[in-house]
Amino acid sequence: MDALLSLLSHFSDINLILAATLGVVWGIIGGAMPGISPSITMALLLPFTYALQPSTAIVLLASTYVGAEYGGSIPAILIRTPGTNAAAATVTDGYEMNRQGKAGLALGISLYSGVIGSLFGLFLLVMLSKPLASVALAFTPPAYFALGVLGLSVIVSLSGESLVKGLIAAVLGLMIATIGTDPVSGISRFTFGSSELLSGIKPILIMVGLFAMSELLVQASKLDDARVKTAPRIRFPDNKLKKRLVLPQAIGGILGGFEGVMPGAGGTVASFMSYNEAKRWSRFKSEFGHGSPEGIAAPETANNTVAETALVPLLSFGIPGSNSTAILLGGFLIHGLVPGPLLFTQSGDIIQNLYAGLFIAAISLLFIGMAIMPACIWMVNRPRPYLNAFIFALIMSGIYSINNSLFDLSIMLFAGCIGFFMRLLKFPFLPTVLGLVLGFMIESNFRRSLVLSGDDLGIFVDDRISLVLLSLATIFIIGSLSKRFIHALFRKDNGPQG
Amino acid sequence: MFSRDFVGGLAAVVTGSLYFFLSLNLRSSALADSVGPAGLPKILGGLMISLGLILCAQALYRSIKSNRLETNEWHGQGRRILRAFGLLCLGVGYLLLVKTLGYALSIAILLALVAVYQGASANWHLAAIASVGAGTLWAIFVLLLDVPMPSGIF
Repeated sequence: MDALLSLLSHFSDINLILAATLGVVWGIIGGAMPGISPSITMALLLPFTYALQPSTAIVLLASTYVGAEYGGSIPAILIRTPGTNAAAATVTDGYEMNRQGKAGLALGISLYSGVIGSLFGLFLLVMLSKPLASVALAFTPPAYFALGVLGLSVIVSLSGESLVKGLIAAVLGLMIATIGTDPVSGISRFTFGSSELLSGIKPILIMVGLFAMSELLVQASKLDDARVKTAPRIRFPDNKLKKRLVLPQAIGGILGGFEGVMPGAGGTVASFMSYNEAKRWSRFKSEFGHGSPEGIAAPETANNTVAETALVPLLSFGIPGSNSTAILLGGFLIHGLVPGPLLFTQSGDIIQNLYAGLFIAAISLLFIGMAIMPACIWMVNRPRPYLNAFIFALIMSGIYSINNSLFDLSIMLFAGCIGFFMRLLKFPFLPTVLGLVLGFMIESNFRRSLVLSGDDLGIFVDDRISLVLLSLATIFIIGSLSKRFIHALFRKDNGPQG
Repeated sequence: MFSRDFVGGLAAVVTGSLYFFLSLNLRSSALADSVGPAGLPKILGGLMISLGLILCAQALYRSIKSNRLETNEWHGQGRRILRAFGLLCLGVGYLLLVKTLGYALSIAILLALVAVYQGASANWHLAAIASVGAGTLWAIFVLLLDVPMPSGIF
């Protein structure tokens, strides 16, 4: 409580307020640009922080991270393009709501959930930094492997009508994840002599290809414009809907808080797991995938919570768990500050200012989000030929800017073709994305664990966290499979449907 | 017989076989662990082939059971695929031209061509929209985000 009270004294600092607000604005712009990741958005600011006071510089960078994590949901909902990896889970229901003419409400839910996630994450960061930090340290390679398997276990429920198709899509994602340098031996795999493929294929290239490019190809293949236009204003959920969103937001907050503190896990895993759990516990399961408000609330709360709790391992131990927190670490080092246990005692004021700045950032997210949404919605209501041309040009520009590489553009176009044919043959996308994101984490940690244990598979049972996570994964898989089986049996008993 | 599921299964078998073949030819290393760089790829290739075969079998079983050809689901798809391919060609064209023409000009041409391809009329209105759109994107990526876009030979 003392920590929260002492925060109040920092709210009158005008520099802090400006840094937090500008950081959020810049973050939303960067996050909303396909290909510009939160870390790139932050890195672009880094040179400007040299001249700033340490507190102002750190708050500017951290607020940019918060803004960028939220900004990724705007193109996900409006143009089926996830601005960040974590926003991929928002695409399905967000874009469906947009197609139904409810873009304003979808953006409102995303903003409302994003602010709640940010505030909840900040609460965890302030109050539970120490216990959460010990969770991060307890994670060993077997536990990371088990965490990856737990993430993959949601494929069963993300597979849609055909489990076999969902599994094929997931294996495709895992296959793409093996391209590049082998994590243990350093041998290049499936690179065909190309130096561009040595570092693997960035998930964002495949995601933008699968979701956005394939949508453009599908739109190009149709001659009619069957869009439902949406009112150009943001609409927040009413009280009834807010009550319905409490559970998915709680799920997103808890999973985001948990995943955020683990270096390497990140917002993407948290978003997908939250989406899956929100679906599992929802009374309106059938709406998922067809424009469910809960399908937006859960992942958006999760990835915005992660943006705050990801600071726990950085502040407590100086461990950057993601590219974005690595940039923030750079910001600390530029000003001669070394994150770790001593930072709390030697530079306690900086930490207090950071907490206050993050609170201001979370609140300003709400107002800035409300201010820019009408313009965004106005844009997506433009005639289809112009809108699609602009989206095509935007993703071609955004993807190029990741590595300044035309090769990346060709990968994205190729992924777009795969996505087009997957849609034609009715394969789901989400398992592919999940396989792609988790593939490297699962393989590298599985093999590291075996190296550590001298090829003894018992290491996965001996490690308590690994055992708990693998047990949870088994329960989830068996539960989802039995639900499918019962559902199929029920359908059979009632005769063929449709 | 050639339902979407059957074609999807067949595509999975072909992809899995190709991937499995490539994984057999992966080099090994003195630094490799017991699983090795080809360990997971071989499992994934085998899994893809098996799942593809299951999907084909399911599709065949369904078509035999329902005793009818599912040809309707392919009706008109050829033309749709061709139209999608056309848009893809515009993207490939941009890739080939951007280094020569530079980002600003190439993106303006891309904007105009994609809009025309999607049904917009080729007139001054379109030229103005393409120019403003390209200018906006150039300002965002080059001025604001400092991305070194190709400047072209001009």
